[in-house]
Amino acid sequence: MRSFLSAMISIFCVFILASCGKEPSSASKSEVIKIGGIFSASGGAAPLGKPEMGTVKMLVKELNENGGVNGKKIELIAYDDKSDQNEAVLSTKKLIEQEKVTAIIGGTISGNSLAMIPQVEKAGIPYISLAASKQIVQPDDHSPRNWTFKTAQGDDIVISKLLGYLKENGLQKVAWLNVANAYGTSGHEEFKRFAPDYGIKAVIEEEFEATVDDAKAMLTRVKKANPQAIIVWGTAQESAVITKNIHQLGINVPVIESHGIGTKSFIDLAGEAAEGVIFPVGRILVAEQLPDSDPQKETLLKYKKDFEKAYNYEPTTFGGHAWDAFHLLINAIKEAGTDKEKIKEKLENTKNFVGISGIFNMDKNDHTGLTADSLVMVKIKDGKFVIAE
Amino acid sequence: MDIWNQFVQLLFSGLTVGSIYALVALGFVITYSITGILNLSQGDFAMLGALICISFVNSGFPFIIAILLSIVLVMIIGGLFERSAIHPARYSSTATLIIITIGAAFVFRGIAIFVWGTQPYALRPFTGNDSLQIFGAVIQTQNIWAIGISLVSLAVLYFFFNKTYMGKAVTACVVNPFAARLMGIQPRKMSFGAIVISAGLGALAGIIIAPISGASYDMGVMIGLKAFIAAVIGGLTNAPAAIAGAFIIGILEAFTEGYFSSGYKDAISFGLLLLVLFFMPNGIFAKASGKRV
Amino acid sequence: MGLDVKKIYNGSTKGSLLVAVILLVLPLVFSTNNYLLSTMIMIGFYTIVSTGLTLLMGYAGQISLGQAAFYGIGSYTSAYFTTHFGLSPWLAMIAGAVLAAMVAFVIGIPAFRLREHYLALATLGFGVIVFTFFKEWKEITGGLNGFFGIPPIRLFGITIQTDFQFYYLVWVFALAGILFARNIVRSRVGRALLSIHGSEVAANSLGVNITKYKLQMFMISAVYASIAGSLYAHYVTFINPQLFEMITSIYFLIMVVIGGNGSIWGGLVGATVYVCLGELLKEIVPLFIPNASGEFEIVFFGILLVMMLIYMPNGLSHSISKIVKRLLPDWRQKNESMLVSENENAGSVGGERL
Repeated sequence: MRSFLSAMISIFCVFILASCGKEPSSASKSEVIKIGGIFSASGGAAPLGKPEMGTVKMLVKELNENGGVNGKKIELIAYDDKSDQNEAVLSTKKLIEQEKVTAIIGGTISGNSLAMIPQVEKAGIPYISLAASKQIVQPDDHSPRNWTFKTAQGDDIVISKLLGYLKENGLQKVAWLNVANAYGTSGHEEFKRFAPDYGIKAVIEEEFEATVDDAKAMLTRVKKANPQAIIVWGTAQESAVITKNIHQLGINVPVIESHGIGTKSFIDLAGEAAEGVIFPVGRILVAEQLPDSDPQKETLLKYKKDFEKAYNYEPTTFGGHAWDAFHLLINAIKEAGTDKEKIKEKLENTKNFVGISGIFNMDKNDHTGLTADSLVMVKIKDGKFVIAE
Repeated sequence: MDIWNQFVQLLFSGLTVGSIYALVALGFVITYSITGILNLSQGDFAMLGALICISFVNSGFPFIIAILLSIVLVMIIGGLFERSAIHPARYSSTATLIIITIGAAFVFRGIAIFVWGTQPYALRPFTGNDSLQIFGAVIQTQNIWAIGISLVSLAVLYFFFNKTYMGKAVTACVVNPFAARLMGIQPRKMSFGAIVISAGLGALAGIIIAPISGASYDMGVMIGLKAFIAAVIGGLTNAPAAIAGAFIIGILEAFTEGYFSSGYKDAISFGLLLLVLFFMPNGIFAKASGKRV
Repeated sequence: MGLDVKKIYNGSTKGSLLVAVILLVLPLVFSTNNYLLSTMIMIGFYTIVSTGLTLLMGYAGQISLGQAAFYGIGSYTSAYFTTHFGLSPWLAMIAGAVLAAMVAFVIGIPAFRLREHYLALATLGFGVIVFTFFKEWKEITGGLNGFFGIPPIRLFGITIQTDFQFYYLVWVFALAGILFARNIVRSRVGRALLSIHGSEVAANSLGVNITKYKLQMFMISAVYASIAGSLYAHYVTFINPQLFEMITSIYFLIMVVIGGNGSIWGGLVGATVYVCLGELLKEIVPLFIPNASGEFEIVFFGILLVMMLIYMPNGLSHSISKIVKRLLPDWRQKNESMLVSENENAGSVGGERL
């Protein structure tokens, strides 16, 4: 009997849950446009998701203060998927079924975006992802991607930029090191795919853990292989350890890294080892140094200023992807209203949109719209980020 | 880089990593010996120590004061943990207590995220960034600090347990709490003391490692686990053996990374754990004691 | 104050049937609310794993911190065989279950000679090793990039695609799992386990082969987790190793602790409360702390875990039954038994402290 009772209690919980969730939380549809957001504001991807969520919230507030879109206010329903795939999927369903949003922005990590995509494709709702994987818009298994867009440069674009730099500087034989997570392996895949096109060969390819304390053991093998340059593909913390170790072992070749290190904490962590490190990244990192003729400069500076004023930390390229997604969506809504099919068409026809991540030009087959030109090579000099073209 | 250089370099890497594990493993051993509890949140004391120290340093405290204050603060946290989570559950089964420490670990991590966020922080090395060249291999001064401090701690603890009254009282509590009480020793206070000291050691470990690999809210997880393996290999009640175990793990990992591949590093360490548990559960340094684990 | 053998056999059939009926009728009432259905589907997967783990922890008294490994073995086996070899999902599921059982057997033989905390460590280590293989065997699992394109399940010619259909699939399995657990508990094996739980020494002297029964339970819990994993793979169609990390094993543990490890419904209760609390927190926390994010969940569950272990070590099922006992003393006669000793101080997760 007691176990029956406890089972009853749990069923009761479910009813509570159901009734909690069932009431859509706002006024009648005609006064408000609902947009859904799913960001990894906590968990492993929080450094990416937090600025994303912050950016969208800030932009919604600003837009509503200035009258909204076509006279209607925007209501943002934002969920934190805690960097967990299951949460992302559940939140997507909630947004589609209960909140009945017009469009969704989000999916900080590629894995989460990929898990969300079947839902949005089935439901026929415009979805702009903020993650980088090529599979999000050009899947290897050719599953449908009619409603899915993304505003982050794919790793294929970033790698191309990096390979281009290597070729220009005559660095043919390189060592490739990536962090052992989805971010690192994605970069590795693209590197393997494109390196031959640029005449670049990897003399050694290795992985390092995200929790690495000391990689000198692995680097001894790298040193043995005698590369002309070392590529380190990871985010700030672990890349800093590797960079320091390279410096400590006295391996004196150019070190080229990924856009993941584009934050001040990398310089703090790597100390003097960071000097001379080069990496491709979006222009926002060096906005002040851009020539005034650069079409993105003004937008970049304004975004940086607004974000830092609101939140007191730098927005990063990831916040930038969210900025782009939001504005692309709002522009589409301005012209197409809340008709999902029309919004999708407007997005597909984006031409010359000056965003934070770059200048977007989309079409039916290209749902990202960015090229290698959206990135710049940046060098760390005297503890600061400097454009290195 | 020739064979000999690489070998020495790997050895140094292993010793560095091993010394970090050693300090945390010492904490495990102390807690276990005195209270019979496996504290799976031990690694998080290291994390708290590192982050608190960084906060003090960034607020302008002199370096040494910051270190001492952080250690003391973490010891207080350890004490609170003992009183609120361990003490009320002291009659529960050991499995229950293990799970309680897991819960505590979650709480520490959550609080860390709340206070410091998820990004990594940097701490400057104790005596500057120079490296020494020994036998053609490179070692940082910070790493030498790590190795040195762990050995010194070991010496201090050995002295304490074997040569002082307090230490012997503590040992008595483990061997026979009832008899200990007859002699006027209070096991309850011992439990409190054990965890507080372990917390302090953990904090020290974290502060030493922060200059080498940065500090973030999740740095404690793997460090704690690996140190755990080290302690088990050493026999869980034998401090010098645990330290030896820590260095063994460190060196094993370094050599795996250096000669083989870095992806399987964790699997090798945990594989060693399983081997030891299955075939030599009292640790590889234990004499046959007949007491089943 | 001991265990009343008579009570074991007087199960509450009416109560169980009622729960089953409610579960089966639910989607018909909420058929358009896919969010609710998916939540219940996730609860379903977790129920299956937790029921298996409850058998292991509550009845056999053994602790496992590595169930996610079996969950993952089921997922990846199903994914691999259905995608690369076009094998029927049912055959793949069986393959996964067999593999999981074999792995459990191999690990179990040496592991169950260990006690309590050493066993916990061994299962923890085992979980990490399996996770490392998921990460590194890129040709088979796709590594950290994940494995996508897992095909859906077909049953009697219907392809199971919608949440509505999948709900029934999962819950039929879940209820079957609970039924099966009940049969085990009532069988010879169950009685043997009772005796082990009561006192290993006594059981041994009566000729009960302790290791064999513990091993059987471990293998059974592995099969439960594996089947849940297979179903899960077909539901989400995209899996990656990070779904099967150590933390997932700990969440399963939390579910069993919450649910109570002496009742076959423990898995269901724990899974439901865990998921519901999670969703509830998502709604409530932002109201009090506007800029909060998911960290609070972790802290909350950590504190909850600690509190439950200190004050309610036998889980919700036990506490609720205590309340019932006080309110309605004559219901005791018809009760299903609690296999955990009713001595409250021996908060027993995984056996008595010697």
